[in-house]
Amino acid sequence: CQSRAPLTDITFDHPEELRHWDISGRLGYRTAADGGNANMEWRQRRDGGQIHFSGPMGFGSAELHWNDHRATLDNGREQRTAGSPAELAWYLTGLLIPVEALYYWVRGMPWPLAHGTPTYDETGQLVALEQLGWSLRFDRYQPVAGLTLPHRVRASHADDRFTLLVQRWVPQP
Amino acid sequence: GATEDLVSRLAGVRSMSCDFEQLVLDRGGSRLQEAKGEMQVSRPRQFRWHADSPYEQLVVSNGDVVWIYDVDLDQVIERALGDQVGNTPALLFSGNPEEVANEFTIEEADRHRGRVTYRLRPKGEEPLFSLLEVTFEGDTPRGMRLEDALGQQTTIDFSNVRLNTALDSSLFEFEPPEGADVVSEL
Repeated sequence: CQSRAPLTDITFDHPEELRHWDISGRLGYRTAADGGNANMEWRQRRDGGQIHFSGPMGFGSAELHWNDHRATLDNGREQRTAGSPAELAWYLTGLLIPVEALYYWVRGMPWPLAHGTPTYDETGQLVALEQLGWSLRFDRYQPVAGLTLPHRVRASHADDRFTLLVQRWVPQP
Repeated sequence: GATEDLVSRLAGVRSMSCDFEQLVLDRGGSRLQEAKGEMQVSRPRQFRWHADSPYEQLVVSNGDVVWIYDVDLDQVIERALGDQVGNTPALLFSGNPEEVANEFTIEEADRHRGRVTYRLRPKGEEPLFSLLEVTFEGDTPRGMRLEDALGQQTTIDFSNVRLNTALDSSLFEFEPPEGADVVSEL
């Protein structure tokens, strides 16, 4: 029988169809009082998401897991649970990073569940967005599986800022 | 015993420069990240760690301050360099060897064809990593392996190792570039 299409052959017509992935990248964040950056491995699957953060020289890692109703943050010494990953992202970075919205922003799309003011360029790519109090900028669009996706998302809100750099996208079935 | 043996080998390293290849695996063993670059270390407590792929990152310490510069994020974090090897493995080769004996229980994990691997377990609570192994071939460091509390494994292989050469002190100074976002925790 015909084996499952190898990952590299999956193509999509619209970012909305790309729902599951492995993203390898970096997250930089900054608040008035603090800041930091970490390597980031984001595994998004049907049943939920997982982001593995690790420090510059590879250690000091923490894992954020979430599904529709629960989120946990584990650094190997203690586990924290919360209703949403955003609360735990706040615990990790000091920023209330709306992870549910990031699920769309990372694909260059506004979050459909909230009002937003998007700005598109002449090719139809999202270049800026005001949503949830964040002003976002999208650039470094590169081809991925038939789409072109942003590989840098910069967000700012008062003194808070975060930057998501995507180094590699691997769509998952 | 293993402790004295490791302390004397570490004391033999007054300075070191090498290339490194770093591989990070999650506890399931799947590959998270690979990085390549160069490292220079010089007693006391000075080191430079320049990864040029997949992201350019530079970690520099002059013995008092450590700077972590992420080029793509254009962000510099500067903080006081603690004296704990537990927080900064690069201190293993540039910190005080006796300090290593105080901070870790040390045993010989493997001795095979001229290579000796020591296994260090932090004595303190809440260490950043739960296990550190360092391998020597004769008196030349060949690599390190770290396991953190989440079971994430980092292996670092050294190549092109040059020991006890004079290293220019400017290697261990860092000036944040114009416009970089500097997060100072000093």
